[in-house]
Amino acid sequence: MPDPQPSADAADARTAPTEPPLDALLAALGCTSHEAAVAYEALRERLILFFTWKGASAPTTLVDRTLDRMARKLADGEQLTREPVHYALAVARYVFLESVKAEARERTAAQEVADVPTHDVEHEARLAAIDACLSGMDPPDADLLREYHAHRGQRKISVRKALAQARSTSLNALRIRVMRLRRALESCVRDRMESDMPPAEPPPRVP
Amino acid sequence: MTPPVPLVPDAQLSRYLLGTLRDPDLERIEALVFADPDLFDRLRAVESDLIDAYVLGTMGPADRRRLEQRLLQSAEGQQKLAFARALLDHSAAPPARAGWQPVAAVLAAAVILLAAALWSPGLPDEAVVLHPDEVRSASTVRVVEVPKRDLTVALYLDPAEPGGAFEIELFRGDAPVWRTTGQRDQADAPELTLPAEALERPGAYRLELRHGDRTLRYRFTVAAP
Repeated sequence: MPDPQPSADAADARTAPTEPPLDALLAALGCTSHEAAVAYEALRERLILFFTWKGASAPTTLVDRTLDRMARKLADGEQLTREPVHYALAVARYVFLESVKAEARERTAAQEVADVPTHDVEHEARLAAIDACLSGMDPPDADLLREYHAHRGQRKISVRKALAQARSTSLNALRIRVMRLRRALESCVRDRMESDMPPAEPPPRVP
Repeated sequence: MTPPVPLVPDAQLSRYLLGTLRDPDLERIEALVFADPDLFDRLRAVESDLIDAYVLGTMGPADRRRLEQRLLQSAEGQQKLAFARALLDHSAAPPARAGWQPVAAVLAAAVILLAAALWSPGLPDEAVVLHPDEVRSASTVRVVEVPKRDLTVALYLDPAEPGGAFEIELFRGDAPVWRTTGQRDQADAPELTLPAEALERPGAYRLELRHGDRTLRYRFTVAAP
């Protein structure tokens, strides 16, 4: 099995003059280009969540570094002897440890971070973006998102049970459905706020 | 044959995200999450729950600190939090955000409010505000538990609309189950009593308010408690 630890610095994309070729990585991830693209995106998502919840200050940079390193190894002819996702996880662990060592991580006191005042203007813009993005969704999906998040305390629990019952589904399946809708909404809101323009497309349909 | 993915409780996924899981569980969960799309979906759902609990202040102090130390270190994490804050604020039922008078004043379209008891100036916690189907941005289908006692129905009609006779009819599915009529002054928000028996069966309900030549429809669901 190739060693994910790796002559890390030499292989690191930061020091590389060119982007590593992705072909070998994509080939390892899927038989067809569509499969590979889907698997690549899924792997990226997992890595972003991995680094974000590890407390990394720049998760996407570390994701790119992980994928670059994998791509470079595979382009150099190394063969994977286990699932690509497991190899990616091993590389990601090393990349994270390196980042912890490399960065003089001056953590701000947690409470100070938490008490950063919410920027009203940004909050209002986000609310407006949510409104616009919900309007672009299928009405039943938009309704489900609103109702799922509308209640607090004991009522929240009973409402969610009722929503699941009304759809003849389990509470867990409802939760997953809402999570997917919420991610689509979050993505639409982010795009809209970044472009500060109405999105060209409504949020993607969640199957 | 692929071995079945072992059941991972939500509590363990929470501990993974908050960084309180230790090896060998940590490595095991991490590997499972990377390999199993369904488990990854559940992890994302748990992530949403944790962030919502943080925003709503229902998370204990130790976990709050852990979440801050992990999630808030990156712009990505802060964005997740800001989005959750906005989503929860946006979705909050009007009674949680606005008082009695603001609800009446802000919404130009007709609003119906169902509550077991009404008093001014605040709204009772269990009050449910229904918006007519025509108001797209507020078309949430509300869920109401089977009431234990009669409900008061308060009508908030646009003050610009003329007063006069109105009629309200309640349907379960397409079957009429209750009907009443009344008179409204322009500045008035009439209150009617909706008998609990009319809502005793769980299901999809629709209130129709006929006022002048307008008919407004309010959909809601009654659920078993």
